[in-house]
Amino acid sequence: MDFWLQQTVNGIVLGSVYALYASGFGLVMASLRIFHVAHAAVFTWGAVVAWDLTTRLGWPLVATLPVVMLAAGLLNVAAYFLLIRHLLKRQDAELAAFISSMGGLIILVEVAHHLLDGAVERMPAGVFPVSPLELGPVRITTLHATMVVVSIGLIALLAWGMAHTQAGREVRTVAADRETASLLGINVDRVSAGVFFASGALAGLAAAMVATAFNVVSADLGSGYLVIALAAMVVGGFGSVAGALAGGLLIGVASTYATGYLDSSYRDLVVFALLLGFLVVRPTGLFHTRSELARV
Amino acid sequence: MDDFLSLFGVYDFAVRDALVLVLVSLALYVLLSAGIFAVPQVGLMAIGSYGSAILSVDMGVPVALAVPAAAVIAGAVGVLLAALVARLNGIYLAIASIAFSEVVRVAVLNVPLTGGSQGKVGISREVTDLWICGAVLLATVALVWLRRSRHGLVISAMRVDTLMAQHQGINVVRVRTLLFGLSGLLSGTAGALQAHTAGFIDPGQFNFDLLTKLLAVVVIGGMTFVGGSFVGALVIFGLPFTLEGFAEYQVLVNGLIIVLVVAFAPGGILGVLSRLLARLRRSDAPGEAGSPVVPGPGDAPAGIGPVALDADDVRVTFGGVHALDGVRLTVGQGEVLGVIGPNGSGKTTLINALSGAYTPSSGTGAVDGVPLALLWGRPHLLARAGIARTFQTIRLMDDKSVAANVALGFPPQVPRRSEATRELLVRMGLDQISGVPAGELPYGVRRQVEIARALARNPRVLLLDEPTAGMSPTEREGVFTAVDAARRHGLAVVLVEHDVAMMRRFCDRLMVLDFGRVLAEGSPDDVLDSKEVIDAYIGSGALA
Repeated sequence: MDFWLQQTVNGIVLGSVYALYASGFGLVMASLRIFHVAHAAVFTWGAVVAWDLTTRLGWPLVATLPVVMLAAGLLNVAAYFLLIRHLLKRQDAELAAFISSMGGLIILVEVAHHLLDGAVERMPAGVFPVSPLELGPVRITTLHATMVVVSIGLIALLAWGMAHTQAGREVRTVAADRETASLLGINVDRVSAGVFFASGALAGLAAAMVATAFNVVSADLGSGYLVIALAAMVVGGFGSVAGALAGGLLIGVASTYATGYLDSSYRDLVVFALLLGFLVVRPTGLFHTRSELARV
Repeated sequence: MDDFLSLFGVYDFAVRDALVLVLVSLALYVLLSAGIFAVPQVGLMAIGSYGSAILSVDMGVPVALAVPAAAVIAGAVGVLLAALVARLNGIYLAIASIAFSEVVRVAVLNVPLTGGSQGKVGISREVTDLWICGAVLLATVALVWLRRSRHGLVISAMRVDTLMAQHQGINVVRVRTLLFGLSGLLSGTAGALQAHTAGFIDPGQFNFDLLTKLLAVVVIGGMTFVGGSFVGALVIFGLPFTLEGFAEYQVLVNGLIIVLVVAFAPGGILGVLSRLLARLRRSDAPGEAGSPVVPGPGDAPAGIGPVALDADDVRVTFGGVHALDGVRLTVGQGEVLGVIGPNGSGKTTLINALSGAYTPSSGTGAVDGVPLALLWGRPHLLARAGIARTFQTIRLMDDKSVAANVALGFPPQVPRRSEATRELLVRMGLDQISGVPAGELPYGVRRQVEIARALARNPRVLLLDEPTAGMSPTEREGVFTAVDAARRHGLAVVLVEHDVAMMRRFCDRLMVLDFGRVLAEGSPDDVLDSKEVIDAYIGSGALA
C-alpha cells in the first residue's frame, strides 16, 4: 500500500511535467493544426539556457526560470515565422509544416549538439534547495513538490485563460477557423505568434525543471520526451488544456507503475501502447474538444 | 560478381546502405505521393529486419526464403495497421504511425527473441549486391508502372482531393490499405536485406533520426516522383563524400536543406526540373485557345424515360438543424429536374446527400435499381451505382492535363481508356486543350472539364451544383448546351441553380426547397407562378 502510494506520487511528479510539455505542444496543434515537432528542440534549448545560466553565471534555478521561459518562447515564435507561417496557405499545409518543423528540429538539436560538444551535462549542485518532505508514508522532495505545484498551477492558469479571457477566445476562434477569425478582425498572425510564445515558454519551464530533477542536459533531451508528450496529449484529447493535464498525469502514473511493478524496460512500451490504443479506439482522447474528426 | 559494389572501393558499404535506404524511401514515397500523411516505415523496416533474422537464425529457414517471407510479414503488418487507423487522418494519422514505429522499436528492445538491446548477431550474410540492386530495380520498375497506370491517376487524385476522388468511384479506404501493404513490403524487404548485408541488427538504428533522414531524402528529391528517392539519396548520402570536412556539419545542412526545399521548392529537385521542362515544352506547343462547345451528334430528343433515381424521406440533420426534412425526389431518364430555393434551403445538402458526401439519417429509394439504403454516405459506391456530380467550387487536379482529369472519371474496367477519353473530349469540344493543365484554364472551361469527367463514367444520374455560378452569359450557354446534349443521351439530370429565368426555360420539372422541405414541385411555369414559392422568395408579410 505504501509502495503503491509512493509510486502514485512519483507518477504525479513525472506526469505534471509531461503535462506541461504536452499542453504547450497541444496548444499549437489544436489552434493551427500543425504537428510542430520542433517543439522538442525548443524544450531542449530551454534546458540548455537554464544550464548555461546556472553554470556560467551561477544563478539559482528560480532566477533562471523567467529568462528560460522568455528565451524558449521567443525561439518558438521565431520557429513560427521561419518554419511554419509561409506554409499555412498550402493545400498540403499539414504535411509541409510537419516536414519544415522537422527540418527545424534537426537544425536546433544539431546546434545544441555542437554547443554541448555532444556531451551530457549536469546541472550544478545546489541550484535548487532539495530537502526531503515526509507526508505520512510518502516521501517527496521540495523540488518535486515545487514541480507539481508550478506545473499544475500554470496549466490551471492556461485553462482559465483559454476559457475566460479575450486572448483565449481569440485563440479558440482561430482554432475553429483561421479564415473566419481573420474576417472577424482577429489578427491571426499575432494570435498564432502568441500561441507559439506561450507554448515555447511552457516547454522551456518544463525543460528547466526536468533538467534539474533528472540532472541531465543533452541535445536529445526534448526528442526523448517527444513521444511521451504526444501520448499525454492524445490520451487527454487534442487541444484541451485540462485534457493535457489529465493525460500527462495518467501517462506519468502509468509509467511509474510499469517501472515499479514490472520492469523499467516496460515503461516506454506501456506509454506507447496507451498512445496507440487511444488513437485506435478513442482518438478524441479523454476530454474531447472537437467532435469533427476528419473522415476519409 | 557477387559483390560488384566493391568497385566503389572503401565506400562499398556506404553504397549498399544507401541503396537499402533508397528502398525505404520508396516506401515513404508510396504513402506520401497518395497524400497519406503516415510514416510507419521505420517500424515496418524493423519488422522486416528481425523477421528475416529470426526466420533464418532461429528457425533455419534458408535466406532466399526468409527475406521474401519477412517482406510479406511487414506488408501484412502494414495492412493491419491501415485497418487499425482507418478512422484517422492528417496529424492524427501521422502521430499514430510514429507511435507504431516507437512501439516496434521498444518492443524489439524487450523481447528475448530479438536479442534485446544487444541486437541480433550471427545473421547469415548470404545477401549479395545482386539481390540489393535487383530489389531496388524491381521496386522502381513496379512503382513507375503503377504511376503510369490508371492507379497512378487514382493516387494523384487522392493526394490532391480525397473527397473528389471518392466521387469518382474510388474506394479510398481500400486504396490506402493496399498502399500501406505495399509500403510495408518495400520497408520489410529493405530491412531484411540490411540485416543480411551487415550480419547483425543494431536495434538502436530504428529511431526517429532514421525517419528524419528518410523524410529528408524523399522531400529533397521530390516526394511525388519515383526518382525523387534516388536524387534525394544522392544529395543526403553523397554530399559527405564529395565535400572534405563536411561530415561534421552534414546533419545541420540536411536540416537547412529540408526547410529551404519545403519553403521554396515544394516539389523537390525533380519538381523544379519537371516544371522547367514543362515550361520549355509549352513555349513551342500550339496555341491553347478556349474552345467552343460543340453539341453532341444531332440526336432527336428522346423524351422522358423510366425513373433513374428515386429517393424518398431523405433526412439530414446537423446537430439540431434539419437541413433536409423528409425530401422526396424522382427524376427520369432524359429529364432535367431543377432544384431552386432560397439560400440555406438545403439544395447543396440534397446534392451532397445523394452523392454520398453527407450521410442521411434516413432515406429510402433506389438508383438504377440499386437500393439507396445500401449506398448512403459512401460516395464511391454511389458513383459506381451511376450517380455522377460536379461541385459548387470546381474540384479538378490543377497540375494534371485536361485529358488526365477526364480519364480519371472512367471506371477501371473501360477498355482503351485513352481513346475513350479522346472521343469524349471531342464530343465536349475540349480536344484542342486536352494537354493543358486544368489549373491554367479559365473558369468556364474548367467547369466543362468537370462535367466531362462526370460524364466519363457514363452515369445514369448527373447532379450539378450551381454549375454556372459566376459565369458570363456565353459560358453559361456553353454549360447548358453540354447538359442538354447529355440529356438527349437519356441521362437524368438534377440541376441546382439560382438563375430562375434560365431554369424556367431549360428544366423539364422544377422542385422548390424551403427549410429542408419540398415547397412545390411541377412544371416550371406552374411552380414559379405559385403563391407559396413567391412568398418563400419575397416574403408574404411584406405587403400586408
